[in-house]
Amino acid sequence: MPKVYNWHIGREMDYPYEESRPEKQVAWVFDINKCIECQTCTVACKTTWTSGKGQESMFWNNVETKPYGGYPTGWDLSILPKLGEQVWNANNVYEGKTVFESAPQGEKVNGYLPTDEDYAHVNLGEDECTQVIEKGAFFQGIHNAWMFYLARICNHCTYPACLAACPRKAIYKRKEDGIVLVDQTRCRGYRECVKACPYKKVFFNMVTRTSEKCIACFPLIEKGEQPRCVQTCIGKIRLMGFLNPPEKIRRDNPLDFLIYYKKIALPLYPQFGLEPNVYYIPPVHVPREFLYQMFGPTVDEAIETYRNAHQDRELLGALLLFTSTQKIIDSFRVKGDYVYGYNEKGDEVVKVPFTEPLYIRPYYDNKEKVYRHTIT
Amino acid sequence: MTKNIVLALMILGIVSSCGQKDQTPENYSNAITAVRVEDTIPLTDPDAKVWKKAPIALIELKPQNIIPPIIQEPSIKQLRVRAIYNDNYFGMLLEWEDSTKDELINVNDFTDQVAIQFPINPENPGSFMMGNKGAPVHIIHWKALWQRDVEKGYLDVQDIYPNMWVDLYYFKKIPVYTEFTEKEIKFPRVDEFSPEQNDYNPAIKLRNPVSLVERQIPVEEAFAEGFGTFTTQLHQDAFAWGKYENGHWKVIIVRPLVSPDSRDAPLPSETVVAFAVWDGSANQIGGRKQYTPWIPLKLQ
Ligand code: SF4
Ligand code: SF4
Repeated sequence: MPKVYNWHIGREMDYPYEESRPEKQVAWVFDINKCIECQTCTVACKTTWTSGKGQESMFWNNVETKPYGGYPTGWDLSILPKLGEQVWNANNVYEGKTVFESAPQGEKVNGYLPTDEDYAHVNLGEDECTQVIEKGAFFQGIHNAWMFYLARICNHCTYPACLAACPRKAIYKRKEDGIVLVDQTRCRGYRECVKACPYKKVFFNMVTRTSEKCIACFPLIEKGEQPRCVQTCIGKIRLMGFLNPPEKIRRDNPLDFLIYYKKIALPLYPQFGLEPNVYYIPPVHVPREFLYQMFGPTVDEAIETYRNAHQDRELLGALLLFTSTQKIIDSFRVKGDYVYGYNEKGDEVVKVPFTEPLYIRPYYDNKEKVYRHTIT
Repeated sequence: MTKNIVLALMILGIVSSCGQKDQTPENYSNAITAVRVEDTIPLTDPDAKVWKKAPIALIELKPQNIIPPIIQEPSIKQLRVRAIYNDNYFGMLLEWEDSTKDELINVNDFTDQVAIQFPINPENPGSFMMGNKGAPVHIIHWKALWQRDVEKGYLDVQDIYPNMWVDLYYFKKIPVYTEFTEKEIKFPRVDEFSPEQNDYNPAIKLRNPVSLVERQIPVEEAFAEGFGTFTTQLHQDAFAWGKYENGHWKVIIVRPLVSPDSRDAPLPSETVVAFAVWDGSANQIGGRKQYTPWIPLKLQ
């Protein structure tokens, strides 16, 4: 089996195909700390792409409550034990096995196939907290109960397990932007991809009898716009853009900046070995052991950087770009009290103030002869 | 008394060994003889007398454990084959034991299937695993699911989940439900959708051969030149029909004796044939199957 380099785990690993990085890689940063679980992203995605027959319980975008929630039910609890011990050494190199390396004999990927019931409870465990909060604890400051919202889409992985497992080569990764797609004319519904994807982000459609997955809203991306789940995010937790290949990293590319330079956003379960391209800013209030398991060994540094963001104008500027425009931001610059975002041609697509201007209007509108409900 | 018990056990022993007799390797056939008949080839009746004119070939099935994805253990171990032909058609009756009839599809529901494979060039049949480059094969593939589609209409969501409620399917009106609604609510069926209404069913819209809502025959003819190259043929000339009874599948597969289609294999007096059987309840699909190597086929 070919050896490929996976920078998330700091080493080479087995993968059924040779390393073949796209010219640029579609990627996202989600700031978990800001998600309010309004599910606007979920509904935007659902009404855009999965309203057909056979897609009733299919959610390419879902937001689940951790630690107890999960869609399909128990996806993470089901796959994690299959990998065996997951240890990282002192140099942040993963010493356990990936889903490829731990595959049983005769299989390409170590996976499992969910049941239809697993898809039937989309938001099971919603808002479940780890413990009961003592009466009054809300007002006294810090308490130990915790939960957080995890927004999930397909990771358009650099080493997709779905693609690796398909015996028909019906799944492909676009060279121009790294988007991973299921060819709906080639798929024969074998469900090897559904079984293989550890994130369970390929779905089987019983009406078309083929597998379907997030297409990264490629019709929008092709015209320079961010996907629907990003455009509509109420909590402004999302930023989509392109990660450059390692030799072409640019500090003024917000994705390169947040992920490679600041290392503030981390991959979900890097130990799976897929080099996923949705990067998360870890939640600051969650026990670290839980976060190490989920986002790898550099959680402490990421949280430290995040906590100090108020002292770092450049970082703060990049964070202000989240859900600030429909357009894809190729580069950004902080100037004075604003952060500016530019498209690939260098045209300004957004200008966000560091401090929102405050306008206070008189209580009574003399022209319309009415009292105003909102004066700010 | 003791004697009687021993005797009874012996009888039981004999009976059970009779039941298993088929499974001993000595009984496996290493060739199939197709018998020429004057009658028409029955398309849908596996119990028709004419099949009895052909000898039964008992074929051993092997688990596909060579190329991933694999199965470790065969859940179906043998296949009974009879072959007949007349001036125009060639037919095979395939029978195997399967304790469950699997004819549905859903994320973890798989269907029972059987396929036969002929070499396009009998002199050089190539790999029995779906041929290889330069040695293509002709495959005829029947699925219980497709037969269900033909018999009862294309399997739809509400067939599996009769109580599923959906507020909205784009392009199709669902009657508004109120507590005064007396009539049973009828959800639109996908096999009644127009092409525009299938915008939300891409594989149907794109006419993927596995998503044919208007399927008329439960069989597909394909061409392959190696693993992962299975391609549906443009001309579909074969027919198949299955019958499930008492834990037993009987499937008839019929094809023209001589076909003008260059992607159909010729049937000279001596060629080879291979089989594959899938057990839906063992989650078998694609390469996860029971197979046979090439088996000589003589047209007598
Ligand atoms: S729209 Fe944004 S804030 Fe709302 S649930 Fe989705 S990711 Fe969270
Ligand atoms: S998240 Fe799953 S479906 Fe998406 S590219 Fe990775 S392996 Fe494939």
